[in-house]
Amino acid sequence: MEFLQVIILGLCLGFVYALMVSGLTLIFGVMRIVNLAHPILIISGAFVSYWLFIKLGLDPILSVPAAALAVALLGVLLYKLIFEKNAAQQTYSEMTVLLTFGTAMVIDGLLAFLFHNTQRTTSPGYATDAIFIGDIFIPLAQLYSGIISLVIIIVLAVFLKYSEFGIAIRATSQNRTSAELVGVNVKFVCLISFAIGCALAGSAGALVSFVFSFFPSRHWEWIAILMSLVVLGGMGSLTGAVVGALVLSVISSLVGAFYSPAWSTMVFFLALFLILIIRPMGLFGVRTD
Amino acid sequence: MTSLLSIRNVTAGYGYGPDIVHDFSLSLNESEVKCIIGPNGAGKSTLLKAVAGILKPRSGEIIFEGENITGKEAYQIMRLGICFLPQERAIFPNLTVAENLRMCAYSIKDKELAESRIEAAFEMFPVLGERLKQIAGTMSGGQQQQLVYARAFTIKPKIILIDEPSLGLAPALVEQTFNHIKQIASSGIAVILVEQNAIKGLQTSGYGVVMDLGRLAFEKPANEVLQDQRLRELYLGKAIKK
Amino acid sequence: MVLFSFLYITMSSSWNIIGGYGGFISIGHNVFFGIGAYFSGFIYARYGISPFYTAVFAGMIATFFGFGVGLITLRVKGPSFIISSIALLMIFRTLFDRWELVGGAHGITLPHNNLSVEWSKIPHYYALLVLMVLSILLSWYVRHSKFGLALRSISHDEIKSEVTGINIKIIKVTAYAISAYLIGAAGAIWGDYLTYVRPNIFFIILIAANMVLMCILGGKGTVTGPIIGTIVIIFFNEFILANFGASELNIFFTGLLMILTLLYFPDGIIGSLKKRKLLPGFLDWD
Repeated sequence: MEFLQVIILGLCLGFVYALMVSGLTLIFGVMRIVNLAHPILIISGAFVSYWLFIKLGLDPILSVPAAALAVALLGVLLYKLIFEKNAAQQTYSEMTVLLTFGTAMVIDGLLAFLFHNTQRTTSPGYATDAIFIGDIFIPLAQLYSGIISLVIIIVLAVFLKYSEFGIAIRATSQNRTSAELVGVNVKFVCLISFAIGCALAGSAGALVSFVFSFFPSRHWEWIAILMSLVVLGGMGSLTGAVVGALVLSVISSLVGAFYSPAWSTMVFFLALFLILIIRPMGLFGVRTD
Repeated sequence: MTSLLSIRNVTAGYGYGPDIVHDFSLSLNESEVKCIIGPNGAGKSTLLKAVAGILKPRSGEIIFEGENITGKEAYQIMRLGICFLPQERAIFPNLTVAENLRMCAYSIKDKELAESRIEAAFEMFPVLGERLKQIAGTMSGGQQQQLVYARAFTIKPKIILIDEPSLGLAPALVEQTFNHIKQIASSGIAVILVEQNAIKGLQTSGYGVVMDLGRLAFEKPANEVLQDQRLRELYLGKAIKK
Repeated sequence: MVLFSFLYITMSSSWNIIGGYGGFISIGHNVFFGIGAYFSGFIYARYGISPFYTAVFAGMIATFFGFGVGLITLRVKGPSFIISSIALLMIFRTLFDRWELVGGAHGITLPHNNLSVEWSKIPHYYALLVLMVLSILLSWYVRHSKFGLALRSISHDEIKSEVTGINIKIIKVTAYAISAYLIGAAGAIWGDYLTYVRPNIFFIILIAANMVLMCILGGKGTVTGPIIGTIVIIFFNEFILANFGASELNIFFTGLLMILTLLYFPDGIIGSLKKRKLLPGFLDWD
């Protein structure tokens, strides 16, 4: 029973992780930007929710749209200021990675200065509740956040699969020149994709705010965690990101439950490292043009 | 009479590199088919890229239907009615055939018109209709080629620029491809064709344009170019040895 | 501050060997710094042998690790490599946080040396000075040797380098291992200087970020670039600390400086000056 319970908890968290990386993988797919600033954007979203919760008592679940919007706007700003020139080239270079790294430091420093590096978490009423199905115990926080993440991911997948603009996004990520030659305004697609990616980070942030405790500098750890998920599933693929997130989250939960919670994050770091060894080209190599 | 497209004194090149196309001028009338031939490195592909907007010309003007389109974005030029089929097969390999066709019609804002154009493309290329759900990249070379040319009929541009359509194709496919090009030409779309296979290209075209070292060498009706002994030796080389 | 400059010049010059000449940008390079510090610190705490003697071996251990790790991670290029370097750092951080033998998250506390307060840092001063001079000499040597030429050609194009007969694998891994050596030795000295070795001091990404920024700002792939870059950054950091106090703002400004440098001076100070032919001769050691 305990085994089953751990798996269920792992899956709930897995969907939250999947939401966290969905934006990262979308941005990489379209622009070939490995956005190391993604985790700090998630934390920014968490701060938006935190702030709304403290000031207005707004439930973090209800503040998902607000966090998404706020972070998307921040993303548009960053894109215009920093990434526009590089996004247009669709060549992934070390320089763009370092740019996102610098961006991460800037936001980290700013948040830490304004709000300090204390551990925070929003605590809506259900945060400490749980339901029991038979012997299985499921904390409501994990359950709700998992379900909401799943819903958002499904909406995203439907949008990418069936809408005109979604197909244009996928076409652009496959072959930018060809997309332009059938009349796609590639620069606009890049901007919107970046904004969507950031909105996903923001909405993940709102959910993270009551599932994990967060503080600005925590994003360094999350960089490696999120990277391991996308690298496992294949960079740029949404399905891959979801699968990667679920698999690693469950493994990590198992390690945490049956070995030692202290080592559960090690699963992500080791996975990231090992995948890069087994696939020397990196799963990044799959989608070069 | 003003021509549909006129390229005036265009100079173009890549990055910080040297000029590839020098001071090049060419004009194209409605439903005209011109074939640009010339040795490797003559700047043929570069010229097409400059017209399509993928490469910004360094100087000169490109006038399309009386409008100066120099320096516009590629997607804007495309929406005005100039379609460019680049050397590499311009399909989206991981999209399905249906999605590829939807992308072809992306620039058509009128939904019904887009639907009907896609329908028309199926009539032209029935194979595509049978494989709507297939991932485009897994089709055979010939089928992918059909998908590329389906674009021309879906979009119905005024001009279509085709870069090296026969490059790297099996002989049977070359035949098929030139049939597609003839179909396009006969539907009243003007064509600029860049081709290594000079005979095939010229046979399909009304005019032959000879380009060398980035400059216009001369322009003549295609059959005259084919007849010209001197030219054969100079530019067509062994390809048409008797 | 002088000690700090010596330390960071050593580290950024060493980073420059693999990151600048070789083009493999590692933002986890302080792993070797930590390994060196832990090795010497552990021996000092356990057996009382001063890190000044064991620094040489700390460097060797770091080199040894560098060789092993390099064999694995240098197979990937570009962004994949950068990310693998972060993964490496996180693995070591987690490992040392949990490893009770070396004190877990509390790390190792080292005995103070028995010199009086005003003299106690003098040995560190000379030791770091020696390391700094060595690092600059090493950087100069690599820049002008055949080995360095091979390394730089690899950074441009691995395949082309390979077909000219360079054993790219050996060159890359060796460069990585060499760059680890002095960083490891510096870590040993620095651990003794601080009198404690903790994961949250030695395995934080900010140290690596500083190394990268110093090289890029100064001009990566040049001998003098990291030196100039380090001096500028150290003064800049002091200025920020003196005027604004908070170390969080330090992170902010470091990031900002990195973005601005990458966007507007990707060649760095030395590189930009050189391009405009404004570089004074005494700074041009390439």
